[in-house]
Amino acid sequence: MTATAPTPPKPITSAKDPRFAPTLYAHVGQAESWTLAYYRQNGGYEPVRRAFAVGPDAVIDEVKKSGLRGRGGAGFATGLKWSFMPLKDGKPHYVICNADESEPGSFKDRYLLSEDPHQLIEGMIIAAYAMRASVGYIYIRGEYVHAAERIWAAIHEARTAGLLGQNILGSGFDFQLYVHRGAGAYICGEETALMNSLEGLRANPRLKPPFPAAAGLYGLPTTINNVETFCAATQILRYGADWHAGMGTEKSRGMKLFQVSGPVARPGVYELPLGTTFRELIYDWAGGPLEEMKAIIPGGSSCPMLPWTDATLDTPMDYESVAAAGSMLGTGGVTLIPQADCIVNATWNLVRFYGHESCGKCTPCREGISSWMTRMYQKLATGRGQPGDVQLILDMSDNIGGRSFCALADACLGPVLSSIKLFREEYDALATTQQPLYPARRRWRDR
Amino acid sequence: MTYFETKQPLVADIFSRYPDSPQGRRSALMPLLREVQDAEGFVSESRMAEIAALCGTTATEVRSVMSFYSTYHTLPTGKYHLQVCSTLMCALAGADELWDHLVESLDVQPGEVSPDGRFSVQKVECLGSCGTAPVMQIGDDGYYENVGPGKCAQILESLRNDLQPLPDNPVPVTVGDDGRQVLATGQAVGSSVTGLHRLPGHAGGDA
Amino acid sequence: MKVTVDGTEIDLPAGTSAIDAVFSAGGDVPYFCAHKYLSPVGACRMCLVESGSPRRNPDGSFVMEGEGDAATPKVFWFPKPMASCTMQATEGMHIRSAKTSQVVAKAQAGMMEFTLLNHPLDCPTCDKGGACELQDRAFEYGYGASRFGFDRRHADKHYPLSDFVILDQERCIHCKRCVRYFEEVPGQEVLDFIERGGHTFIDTQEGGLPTGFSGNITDICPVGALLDNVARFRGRNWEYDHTPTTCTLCPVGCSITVDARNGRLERIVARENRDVNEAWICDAGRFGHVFASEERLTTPLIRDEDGQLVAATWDAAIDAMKRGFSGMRTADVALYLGADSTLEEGAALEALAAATGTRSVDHAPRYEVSVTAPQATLTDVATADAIVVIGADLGEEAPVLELRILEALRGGLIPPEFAHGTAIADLRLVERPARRPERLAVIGRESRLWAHAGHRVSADSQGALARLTHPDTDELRAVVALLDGAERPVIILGADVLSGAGGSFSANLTDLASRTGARVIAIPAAANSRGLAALNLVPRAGGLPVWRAQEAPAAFISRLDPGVRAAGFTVVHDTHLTATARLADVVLPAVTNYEKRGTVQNLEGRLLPLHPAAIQSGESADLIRTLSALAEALGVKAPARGLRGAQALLADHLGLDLSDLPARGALHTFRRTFAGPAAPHTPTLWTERMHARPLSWVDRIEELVHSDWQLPGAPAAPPARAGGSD
Repeated sequence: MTATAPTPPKPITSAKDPRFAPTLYAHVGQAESWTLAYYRQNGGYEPVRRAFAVGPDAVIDEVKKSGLRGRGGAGFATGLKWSFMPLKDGKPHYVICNADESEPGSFKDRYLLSEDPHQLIEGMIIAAYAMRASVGYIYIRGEYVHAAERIWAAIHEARTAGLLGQNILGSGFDFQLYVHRGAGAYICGEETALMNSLEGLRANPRLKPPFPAAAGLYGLPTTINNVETFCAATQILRYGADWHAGMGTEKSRGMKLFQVSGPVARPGVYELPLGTTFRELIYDWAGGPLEEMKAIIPGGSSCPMLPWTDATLDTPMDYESVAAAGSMLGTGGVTLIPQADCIVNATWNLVRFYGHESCGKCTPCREGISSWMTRMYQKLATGRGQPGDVQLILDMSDNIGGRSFCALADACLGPVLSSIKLFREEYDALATTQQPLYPARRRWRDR
Repeated sequence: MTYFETKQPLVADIFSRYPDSPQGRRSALMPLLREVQDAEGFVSESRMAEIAALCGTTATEVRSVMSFYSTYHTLPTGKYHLQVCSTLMCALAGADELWDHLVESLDVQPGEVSPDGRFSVQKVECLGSCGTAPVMQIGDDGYYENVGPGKCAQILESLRNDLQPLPDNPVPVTVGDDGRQVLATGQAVGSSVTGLHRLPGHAGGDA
Repeated sequence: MKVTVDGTEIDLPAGTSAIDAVFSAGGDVPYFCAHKYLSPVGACRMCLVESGSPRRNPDGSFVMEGEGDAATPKVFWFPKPMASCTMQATEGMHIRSAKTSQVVAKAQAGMMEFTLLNHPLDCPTCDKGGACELQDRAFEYGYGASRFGFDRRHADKHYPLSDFVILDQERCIHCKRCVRYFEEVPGQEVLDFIERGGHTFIDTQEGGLPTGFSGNITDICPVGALLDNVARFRGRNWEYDHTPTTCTLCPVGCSITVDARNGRLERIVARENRDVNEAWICDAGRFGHVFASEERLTTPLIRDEDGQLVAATWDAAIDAMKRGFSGMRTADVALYLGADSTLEEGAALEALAAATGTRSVDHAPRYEVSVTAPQATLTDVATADAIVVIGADLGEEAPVLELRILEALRGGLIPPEFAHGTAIADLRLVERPARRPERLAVIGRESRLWAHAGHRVSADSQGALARLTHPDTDELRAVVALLDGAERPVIILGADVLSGAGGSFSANLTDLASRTGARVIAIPAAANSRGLAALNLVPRAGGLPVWRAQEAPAAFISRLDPGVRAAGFTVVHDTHLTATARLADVVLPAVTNYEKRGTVQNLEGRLLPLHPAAIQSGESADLIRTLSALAEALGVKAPARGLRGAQALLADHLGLDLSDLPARGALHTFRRTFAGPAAPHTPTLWTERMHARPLSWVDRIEELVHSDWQLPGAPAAPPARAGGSD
């Protein structure tokens, strides 16, 4: 390990910190970054050698020590999750990469997949080795055609080079990796629905327990992680748990890919340490808003909106701080909503999204969200609102929230309840005068 | 004549990705559907039955799974199936106007194919490219991003001449040549990966 | 395990679901998707309860609240209500239902509002009305009003899934019971959801549901979405006379409820019997009842001067029989009966035969062999770890036995029973259960069961038993290894091996069973062949069997259709004007088994009760009363004048007390059985008269208008179509 300082250094919570270097996205955008040759020139497949050298248990310990939490949205401790896999049950184990990036506002994984596929493959080999898995699948959303081609090509390269298959790098460890393309269903981001989809079934979420680590894909022990989580694991094995733990806040350690969308100067993906403020992301990195804003969706569309205030902008982007502010860090997909846009119309868009993506398994989501809530919003937003509609939406939400089979219905309530709480006057205007406070305007233009 | 009759190596390759068991066979369902749709533009009932037989299940199950996912079609689509992302981030960039423009200028409604067989349109939900909104996908070919009015006109013109432009894959470059991230102001800050200390690939190496 | 429900502590076995905990405590929880014999899925979200559990400190002691002696383990409540059908009750758990929790009451009322959102509320025209789970639960747990101010989903209200099952797509509440049923019970992936979200509907892509076990989905549908098309629009649930009885179309003896209205049998539904059919019946048993109310004989028929059969009174028929039998010895009259007759009817005929001294007595169909190997019950089949089926086509011989075999292949998990009945949610049952086809071997001709079998041996069934003693192929060696390696093996024998079996059959079977420890089910030829074998209803020395009836000087033939008449005077007792009846001198109207009181014995030896449904059949009589008339005509004393007399005969001869048989039936082994040479028999489940005439409603109205149709309830006319339809 590197020299240990007697007092722990101040954690890195800004990408402007001279100690911070981007790793996950360090090679995104470089020529030929997706090839094995490029990857190897830049130290690729050394972390997996290290994993083989220290052994599977030490890998899990290292990931635990790094403080890495799942980057798909829920933020569950990755090392702990890996340790749930049975050790000596004699059954085949699976690792699955959740590359079904579908949460509106999230678009970070796509570039990891297409521009740095070997980073992911290496992360999956490391994870599989740690969890004694012999087969892995990358479940990639069907629309990511280009990314799927890149990742397939990288797998073939790795296989040819002996990095996948039998006895990888002479370690005695065998691991096969395949790509499975989705076909357009947001619910596949839910891990048990994803496993059903992989098994060629309708992607309805499964009952838990049993949890995937006990009975997952094909009824066998399975662990599913997000693309970014596997990539972070590669970096942790390369630079060490201490390096990773040196970034971020006490409970939210490491770096994270944040995405900015909406009317800002530089929408895109930025790799920042956890604990960076919204202000730094939006102004320093994304170049600031192009017009007056009223709300931020902090982590993908299911995360409750936060008001566009100094308090929000100065909130550090870590799991705990964003939760304390009343929302969730989610996938780190930050969307800005302009002041001049009708919040009811914007929320209708998201409600329609969730209604469209409801799998139909459980009543509150199928009827409450998909059939009713969408029409309540349509009614309001198209100028047919009535007094009492907002109260009805709130009571429906009360009957939906926490009552559904999986989290999709609750995800829909994120924007619904937060927008009513923050912008009740816009709702009331539509319910009483049938006129929006912010009428529709032209937004389509060339950039 | 069945679709897969002459494509046994492909079928074998797909099956080889999954366990050699009834459950594993069933896993090939979605890849097989994708093969047929990419080749024929939609999946007919006879193809459903063929896939059912390959996967050891019934046409009912194939139809059930197919209909669950939004990118499989049971009806023929146009040569260029234009899918416009309509979710909030694209809507904030004018996706609704893009949609209206397409429907109007191509004179085609969802579920229809234009008389020349070229175009069909579909509103889809978030395509995961929110940073380059509005986004449109053509068939199973890839994304066309930042589709403003000018770009839209260019794309339609090319398609009308059957010269489909290559999909866009703009990569967000956040790291400069020296490996440091660049602020909106153009200033490079932080450090580069080359400055990080890599752990040795083999245990027992010096630390 | 101690669980507290609404403040009441109860003791429950480990593994009990929270929903069963509430019912065990005498409480109630509404539910739609859960079903006793299907996997719990937690989809409808009606069964929400609040729940909490104590937690343990690291040292194993409970986290307490309160001071000193008053301290009790602190209950940590879940922050949100949980679906009780998918939650296991655990030691110390507290559960609150709507009875004590406002949160639960509101959650359920809100969920009901969602459930009813797209439901058409067309109860006044719905066959399920009055017996509808949704209707009842909406009344008990709903707001009583909806705030949904939009148009409901409109879809096809008359969508036939097959000739027998019709779907009203608007009424479906997506509980998925039907989809799970097909996948889990008969193992057929023939029905599934199409589309997703609010657009989801059920459909089949198989060109119709396969006939076999499809009708069960009409029973388990909690709303009026899936309906019995044979019974559609034939009556409201409160108008039907519901009669619990036993199906006698095959020797399984499924428990059924017969619903009659205005004297017509309109509908048959399954009735739960954990020991026999669980909650399922076959399509023949459910839909094949039309014969009971169509073209029935309702009066005796005698020959007029022109030799035509004409309606007559019983007195006239008895006179005709007296004339016909005059000059004959009573012993010349052969006595034959169908093998689905009850034990009581059999006893009456046995006694009459003794009184007349006839040697020609027989029942049919039956097999010659009697099986002495240890008897397997249906529960043994469902919990077996190896099953070998030889020479059986279960779809024709004993359909529900096939379902019990499939139950074994998916793990043999029989839901436990509580005071409130079978567990509503057995958490051991899972969706898409792993199946063990390697536990099933089938030998003989191909049948539906082959699709589920891991070992399939195409072979001559008759020789199979002998070959299993000395297996000569790898296939047969594998079958023997399956039996040898099993702890609870069962062998099932069907018609192909039993019909015409002889020689070394019994020895081979006994040998195989004792060597492998297997229990055996030999499927009887008819519904009560097994019970009737306990009575001396086979030809005595020199007597004529049924298939030689034409040689008899005279004959009385009850509910058999050999297609021949005796050489001399012939009396036929039947429900319809069969080919044999057309040849008879006197035809006496018989009741069907739906109209009888009595007892039958099924294929596992279970005595099962029959109860009479309110079906109008004119002057039809059961065999016991008919034999009294025959005795009168023959001038002998009737040995039994009614059911009690017949039961007294059984009590005297066999020590059998049938007066107080439990509804589930009771296993009984007769010490002695009678056997003798038998005619070859090929079982067929469906007969021509069981099929509903495929008439459209337009045709039906046309037919009614142009026939002598009268309002139901009017006295039935003599069979107008007699002689015209076959």
